[in-house]
Amino acid sequence: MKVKLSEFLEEKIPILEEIIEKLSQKYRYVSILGSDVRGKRYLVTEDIKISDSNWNERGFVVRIYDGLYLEYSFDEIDDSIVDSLNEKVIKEFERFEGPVLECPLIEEEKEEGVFEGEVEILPETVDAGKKIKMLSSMRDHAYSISESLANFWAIYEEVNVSKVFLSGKKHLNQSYVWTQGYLQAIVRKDEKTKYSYEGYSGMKGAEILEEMVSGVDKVVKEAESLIDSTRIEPGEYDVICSPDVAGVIAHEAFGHGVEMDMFVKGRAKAVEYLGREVASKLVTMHDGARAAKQVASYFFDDEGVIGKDTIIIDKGILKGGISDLISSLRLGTKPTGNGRRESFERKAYSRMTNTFFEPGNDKLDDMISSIKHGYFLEKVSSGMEDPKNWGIQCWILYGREIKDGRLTDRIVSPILMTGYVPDLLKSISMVSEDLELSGVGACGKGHKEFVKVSSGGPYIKARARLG
Amino acid sequence: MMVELIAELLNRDGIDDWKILERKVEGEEFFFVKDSLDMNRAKRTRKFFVTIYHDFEREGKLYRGSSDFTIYPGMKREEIKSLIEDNIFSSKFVENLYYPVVNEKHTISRTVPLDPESLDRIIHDFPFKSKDVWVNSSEFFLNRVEERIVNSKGVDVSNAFYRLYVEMITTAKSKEEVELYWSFERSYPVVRMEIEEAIMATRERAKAIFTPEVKDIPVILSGESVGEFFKYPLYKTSGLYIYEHLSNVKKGERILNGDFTMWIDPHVEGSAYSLNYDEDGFLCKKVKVIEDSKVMNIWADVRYAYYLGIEPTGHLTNFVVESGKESESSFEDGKYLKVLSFSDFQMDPVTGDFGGEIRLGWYSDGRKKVAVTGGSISGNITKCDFALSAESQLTGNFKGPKSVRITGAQIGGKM
Repeated sequence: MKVKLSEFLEEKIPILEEIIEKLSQKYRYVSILGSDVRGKRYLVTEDIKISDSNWNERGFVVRIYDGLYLEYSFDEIDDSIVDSLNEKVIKEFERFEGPVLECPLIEEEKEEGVFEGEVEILPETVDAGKKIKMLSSMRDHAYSISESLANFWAIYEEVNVSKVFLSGKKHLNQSYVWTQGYLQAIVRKDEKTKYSYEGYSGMKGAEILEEMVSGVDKVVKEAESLIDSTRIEPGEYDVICSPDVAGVIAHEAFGHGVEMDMFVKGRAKAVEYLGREVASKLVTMHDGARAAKQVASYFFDDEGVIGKDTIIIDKGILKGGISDLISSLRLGTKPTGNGRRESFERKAYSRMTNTFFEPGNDKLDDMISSIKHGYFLEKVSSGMEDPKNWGIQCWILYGREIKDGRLTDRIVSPILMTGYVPDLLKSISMVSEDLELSGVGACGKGHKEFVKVSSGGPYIKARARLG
Repeated sequence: MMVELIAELLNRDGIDDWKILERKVEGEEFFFVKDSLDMNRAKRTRKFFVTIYHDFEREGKLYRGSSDFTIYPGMKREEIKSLIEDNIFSSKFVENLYYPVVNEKHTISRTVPLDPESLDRIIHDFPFKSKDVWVNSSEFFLNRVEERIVNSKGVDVSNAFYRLYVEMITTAKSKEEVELYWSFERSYPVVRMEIEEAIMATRERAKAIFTPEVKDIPVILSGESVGEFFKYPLYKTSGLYIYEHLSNVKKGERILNGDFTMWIDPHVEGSAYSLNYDEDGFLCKKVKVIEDSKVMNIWADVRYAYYLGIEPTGHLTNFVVESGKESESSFEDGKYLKVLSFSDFQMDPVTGDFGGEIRLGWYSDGRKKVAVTGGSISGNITKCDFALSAESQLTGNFKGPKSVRITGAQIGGKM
């Protein structure tokens, strides 16, 4: 079923066009992004909670050019918008006495386009009662199969995105739906508490609820198995990373490292390595709103640039970065459709979308049997980048020990994987045929500016420092 | 008035109680690359966060269903009515045990926050350059926030505050350039000394060596990670965690091995998280949660306090850990690894597992102290002992010791 543009935005387009016309008399570039993102989050645990999605927003951001780009975000359209822009932004800029980093003017081509996403079951066609009933039965089933379960979460979230981008030459609309589901089992034995999770996501509708049902047994058993886990002895090991761990490596290692606003600031070491070998020949890495169909897929970004599929690393060679519009103007490069905002209230930065390694030719069984002593790493909790000095940190939920080419019963948890990005990527020696992407998380820039992303890849064999 | 219109539409059949939190934000933002202005922005937003409650009985038990939704300015009366209708329908499927809304009537208390220094002045005085170290990029956000909380029992209270957020990347050069990330969040200007400490630390990272492989020595956490470390006892003593079986701590029991005293305090000077009223309209209270490592009180909002049969304290604002008796310098006797900056230090408040990759620290073998980078520390707080420094700090919503010395953490270095 097709997802239609919000009526609210449809109705506001003529007023927004009037504002653009008025401002265009004085400024050489004017654009407005309008967002209407509506979603609901259903949580069933000890309690039940129905709330708005954290991704909800409704408002506008106007951008003008005055030697550099200035912006004003608002959610009430009235006659005061132009005056407020003058008072709060332009006058502040004029009062500023320090140096300014000037920027070239955006030269636009005429572009019009509409994108309507399609899902199997539109979320609003399934009532809240049915959603709560399905989540409650997942919770009840979890308690029926485990005596050590202390808590169980079943979460379903549906988000309906509508955006319009208007400027002198552009008129773009997009509307689509993404959903995600999350199961978490928390078990306790004596004083030890452990948990595991399963995530589900995609450019899908309410049909994702059916996918979640089959994950309950798995997540409960997995959490129970972690109760007897021990801590790993810190050191360097041969590892096999599951697709979600591989995805976070891609995201943290060379996703953040090639965000091109970092090139403008001189914060990216990647600039010195363009065209050079940064990873094993087995590594090809993509990012892009059009590189995959997942939660970070879209028609145009928050600066009105059409989304693309960018190859970041091609057979081990660093090819290029991902860019927002303003950074590309400063660098003299082409924007890649990666200018994203947390919401209309925030600045646009160069941000990742769907980031992943391409699959290879190896079989997972062969990869396991090739390891004398190491770990099979599964489930990522979080990751952090260091684009200037190429450090990487990933919290991984657990690792299963591999000895003499076989998985043993020993499980270590949690694991902190750290390392120097090129060392880690150059150590990749086997890549499986699989490709899985997951988008249940969010990505921050520093410690803020969260946007929805997905990441993934095949199983990869590498050498990593674990602690 | 939008609040009055929403309240009028909420006073109807199918809704037993309701609350509205109106939040208005006016913000100004400046972005710099080195000392040059990259962009300036401003914003003005207003939202109405609404919760409706619907009561029903099942098998002789009283339940309270609820549904949360947001009303945006400019929504028409019919659109709001339809939204309310949808949420009344949804709330009927939410089978939670009954709990009351806040019913303590306060007269409207309009607080006027102290005006902070203007952002122009803060930026004018900002040390973009120093000897051997420069600010690569920085971002300044100053928001004036006004909140009004109204509910069906006649509560009508308000908060007003400023939130200043400064993020900066500092860079220094030795063989190659190195950088450190910093963020400061306050209700009034960032203390200049903190910026200068950040600049000095960047100089140190420029000469750092890789963290060596060392075992069984104390780890000293310093700076922002200290607040994160104490999130374990903070959440273990929350009513929500106890109700959700994520914690089984009891009043009077000892928690953890180190000696410490912790408070929930809604009025920490300088904190951007200090508030009079929480989002339920409850007048937040200062409460001693842990004294000498013994649990004294559980902190909880109105709902979870009702479930647990305890006095509510309100939603979390600030948490305060009393500083210790030993000076930071006394921690640096003998062998130790002190870490000032991590990639991202994290404490898991459910399991007590903690750790992070080291961006800047110092290792001392008992004779010589060297700056280190890379490698990691990890551990579980329930298996560690710790001591607190006498010096204190304010980071985010944490006020407490500037350093904590931990024994029992693992260090992942390089041979």
